[in-house]
Amino acid sequence: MSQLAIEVKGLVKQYKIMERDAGLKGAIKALFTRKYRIKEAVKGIDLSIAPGERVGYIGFNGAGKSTTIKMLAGVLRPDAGSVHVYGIDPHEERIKNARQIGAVFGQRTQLFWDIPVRESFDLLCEIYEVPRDEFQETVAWFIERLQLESLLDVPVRQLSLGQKMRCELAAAFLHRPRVVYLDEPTIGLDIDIKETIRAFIREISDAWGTTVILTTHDMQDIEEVCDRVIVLDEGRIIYDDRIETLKQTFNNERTLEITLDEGSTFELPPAVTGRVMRLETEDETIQLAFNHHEISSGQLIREIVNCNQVKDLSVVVPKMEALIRNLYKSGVSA
Amino acid sequence: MKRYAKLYWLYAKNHFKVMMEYRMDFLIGVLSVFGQQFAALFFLSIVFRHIESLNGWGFYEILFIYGIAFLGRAIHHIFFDNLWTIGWQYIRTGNLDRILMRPVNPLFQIIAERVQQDGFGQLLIGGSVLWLASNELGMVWSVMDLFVLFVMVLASGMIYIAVNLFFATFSFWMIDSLPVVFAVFSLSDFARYPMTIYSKVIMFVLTYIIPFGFTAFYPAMYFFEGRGFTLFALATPIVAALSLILAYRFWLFGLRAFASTGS
Amino acid sequence: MRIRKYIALAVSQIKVDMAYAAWYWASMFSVTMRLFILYFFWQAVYENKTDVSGIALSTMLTYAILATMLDQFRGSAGRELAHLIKHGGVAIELLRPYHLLDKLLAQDLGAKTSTFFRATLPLLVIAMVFIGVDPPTSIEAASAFAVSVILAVLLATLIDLLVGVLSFYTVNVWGLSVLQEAVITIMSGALVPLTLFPDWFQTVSLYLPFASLVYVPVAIYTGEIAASGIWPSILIQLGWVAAFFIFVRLLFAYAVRKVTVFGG
Repeated sequence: MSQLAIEVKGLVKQYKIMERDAGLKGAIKALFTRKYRIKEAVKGIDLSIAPGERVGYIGFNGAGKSTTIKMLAGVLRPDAGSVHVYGIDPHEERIKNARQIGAVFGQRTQLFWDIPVRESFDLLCEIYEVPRDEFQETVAWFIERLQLESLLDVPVRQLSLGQKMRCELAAAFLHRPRVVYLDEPTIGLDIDIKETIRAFIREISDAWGTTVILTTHDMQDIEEVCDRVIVLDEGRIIYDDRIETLKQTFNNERTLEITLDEGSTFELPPAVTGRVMRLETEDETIQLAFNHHEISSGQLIREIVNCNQVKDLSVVVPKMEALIRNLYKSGVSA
Repeated sequence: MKRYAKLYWLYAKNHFKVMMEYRMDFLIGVLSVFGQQFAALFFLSIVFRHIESLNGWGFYEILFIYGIAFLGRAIHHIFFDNLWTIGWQYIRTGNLDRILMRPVNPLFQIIAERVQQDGFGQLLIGGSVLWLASNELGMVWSVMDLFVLFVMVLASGMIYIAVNLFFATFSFWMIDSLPVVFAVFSLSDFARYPMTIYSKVIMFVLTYIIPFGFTAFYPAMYFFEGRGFTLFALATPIVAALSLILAYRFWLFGLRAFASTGS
Repeated sequence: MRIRKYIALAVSQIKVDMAYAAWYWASMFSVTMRLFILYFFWQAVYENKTDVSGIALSTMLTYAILATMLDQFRGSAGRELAHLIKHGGVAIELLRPYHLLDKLLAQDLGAKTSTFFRATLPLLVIAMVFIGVDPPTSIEAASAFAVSVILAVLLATLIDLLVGVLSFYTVNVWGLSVLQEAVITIMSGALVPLTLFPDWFQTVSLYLPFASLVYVPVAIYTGEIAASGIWPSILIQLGWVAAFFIFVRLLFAYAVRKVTVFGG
């Protein structure tokens, strides 16, 4: 199948932000004169995502992530550009598109607050017109994978965060959507529940070829679930590549952490200047970033120890977290 | 259509289950509505201890008008109560996004997500008042009359719904239009008394602008002989349908605006 | 000065209320509409009459307007207290350097002061211009009215607090406050002067505190309560205020002791 799961071209979205003075006077003034400030939340995005791809969609708050996803879901209308999800324009054919998508949005619930989880699932089954036997098969599978058995008869409002999120996830996948948007599905959860959730997403997506768009602040999520990373900054895509490529690009990055004897000051050996970068730290330690290709760890350590009174020292291989931070830096300067 | 009926039944079934879980809350809710209506009736009966008629209208005629208003309001109250909460529970919280992502009419979902049990008290008291009044007035009910009564009560409910929906839609542009809805609904109290006691301006407003006159007084006129207003009485279902269409169009317009601005 | 912190509490409540501008206009509109309905209603009642049970139209309208205004002063202190009790906030409040009941009373009076200036006064002006309000029957009646209103407002808050305190003892405060609302609406004279009621009802209301909430002050103003009856009526009000004040405190102290001993 050559059809793309998601195809986005030149997507732009602007918000009018009403400016209002504080207080009662401001409120009254706002009734008569309206001042707007235009904020461009999304400034021209192009995307092609193949069926079954799992994409980590990351960026700082306000980078335009949720705006893009709302447009992919048909909730918002783009100001310019086009969006297609399996060939459907989500805003023009919102209801048709709704049948093929599923979503988890961190704080808001898909489930019905006062009624037991099982009834919520039943209701969703009707809402999405899922054939009964298919529904039962799906639910049985989810119950096993997400350990939902004991939760089914509990009203949603009585569930803990982790329990709720597991049910939430099941609800999003219940109608076997072709695309699923997951916004912070692991936020605030315990490690073992996080693991369960990540494994679940991988397994379902592999089994059904579900395309997954995952936004998260937890890089572990990305590393374990996604095969592609897209980084958004101020409404633009600043990075879009396979996760392996990302890792490789920064594979040779290292950080040397040094603690000196008390009272001594740090001196950078002339032999290494230009090949390391001193990072700013909050404590007494000294951190030097360097590329393993340009100067080997051994050589750097030798030089440092020669002209400093070193108490302790270690070499750190940066985590995803740091890689992404690096991306922002290079993105800003680019 | 069949699908929506089935869906609504599923939603409602769940509400009833929850209701049974909190039987005490249900009783108190019904009782509270009961209390409010009772106070209004009590007021009327005290006043009628000292007068024979109000602008030519007898106690039981006014009760009859009350009864229709209560029943219409009960339909709105029980099944469409969530229209009040569109602003603060759906638009401001982003719950509307969630609703828009499902393959079902968004307004239907909002309405179906709540059944307001308190309204059953209104239904009960409205029915009793109507029965009492028609007995005292010596009304004879044919099957046709009962059918018309049903249509009129339905129309009355539709007008409450339309007015609520129309003004709730302003929430797409305001922070929350609930105060506006509240203010407009305070006009509905006018409709409880015979409209002939009001000035021309008020009658005009309640007939042509915010058609609360059609929630009780005009439809009641169908059942009173020789009191006039027959044309208005007959127009009630049409006014109700038109109001509802207008309100729904405005809602769709608001929804489109929402899609372009977000919240 | 100890009283200063209670004043500060009252002022802060006024500020909170100011934030709800939209609700302010909505409720102003709503009350104005209610006044208009009352006007047309009583106009129709008096169509072929000069008096109803000895009360002239303009007196009746004056009564209806003032009673509607006074009825706006039912407090929310009880609901707040019930909320604190239900959600465990009361334990924290007990640690603070003030008496919780005094704090709630101060806040409630602050809210009511702001209601008076922001809502009651403008509404009175509207009523005077469009409907007409009789002047008080005498200077004595006017000053007695002022005193009586203050006592009525205090009593309303205390009755409300009583219902709040009862939520220490019962789970279902909501039911109680619903009952309270209905009883007050009917028995306080907020709808019609109590003299229009059947005799037995008037006798019963003599022994209940509710008439002190609306009927007594308004009837003093309109002259329903004649000059000779004014001071006894106010004395009765005073008695109710004192009785409820003490009763609420005792009940609260007892409940708090129970809670602190048994850990709620």
